Amino acid sequence: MAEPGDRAREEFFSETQEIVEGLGRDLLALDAAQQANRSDPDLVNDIFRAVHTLKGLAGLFGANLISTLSHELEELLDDLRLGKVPLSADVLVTLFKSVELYSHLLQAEKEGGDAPSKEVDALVSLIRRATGSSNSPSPFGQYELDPGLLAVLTEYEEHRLRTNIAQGLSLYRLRVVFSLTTIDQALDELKSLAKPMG
Amino acid sequence: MRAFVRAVLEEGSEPVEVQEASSGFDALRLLPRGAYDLVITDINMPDINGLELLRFVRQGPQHRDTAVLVISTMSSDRDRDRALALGADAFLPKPFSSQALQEAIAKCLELRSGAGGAA
Repeated sequence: MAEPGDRAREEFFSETQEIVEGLGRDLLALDAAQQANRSDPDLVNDIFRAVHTLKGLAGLFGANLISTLSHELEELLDDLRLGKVPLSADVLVTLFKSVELYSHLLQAEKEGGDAPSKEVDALVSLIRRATGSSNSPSPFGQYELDPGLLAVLTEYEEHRLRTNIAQGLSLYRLRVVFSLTTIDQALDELKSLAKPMG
Repeated sequence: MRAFVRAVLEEGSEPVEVQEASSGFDALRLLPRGAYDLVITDINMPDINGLELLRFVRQGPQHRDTAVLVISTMSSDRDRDRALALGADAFLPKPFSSQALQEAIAKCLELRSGAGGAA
């Protein structure tokens, strides 16, 4: 591990601690949303980004176990984000365990004590078991979707479209022509007009 | 990220002129103003995504020789496959080092140059 200096290490601990605490709060909110049968893609994205940041910070400061855990969690959260893995009670428990383990890992890093590497290995196994693809059939066949449109959707946008169709939301096709000079404003106006229709 | 990309581009041995667009629409407004050797686009932007911008570049005959490098926060195989299928010259997932970016840029320009482009 490099020696980035005491002050930088202090900042690392302070920032990672803050992120881990935020993760705990976001997971509680995710749990509440799931109990209420609501999906919250923004929250899952926030959690994904937080873990991504933790991975980056851990890599920078040579905190290898935090980095390993974050890498595995990132894979699981990416699958959750893209709807490849459903948000089950088991997945939530795994996520809560990860937050708890982050705290232990940070403590060990700070005090220079024995790193809980066995706990990381055990949790990584759990995370890998939860990660995978459900290979659900495409819901697009029943709609006349322009293949040119589907070709330029990112994986995440396609997932959101699938989710909206699965939730029974209506799809509309709008044909509009904008001037390139005013397209930003015109599109915002169109969105405001279209939003009340679902 | 734009500042980082600009710095890497300007660090090279050849002098380059860099123009920045703050969004996909901004890029669409910039593109007709000149001939570009290289477009570097993020896949996630506030308005259109990088794949839509890429398609626009590839459909414009005036940008036939323009190389396109797509960068992304997600190392999604599907996004990478789509970008390459739409005509991207390279796909680079974040985080990446300045060296990885330099190599990807060189690869893009070499590919276009080899294809008879003006880069």
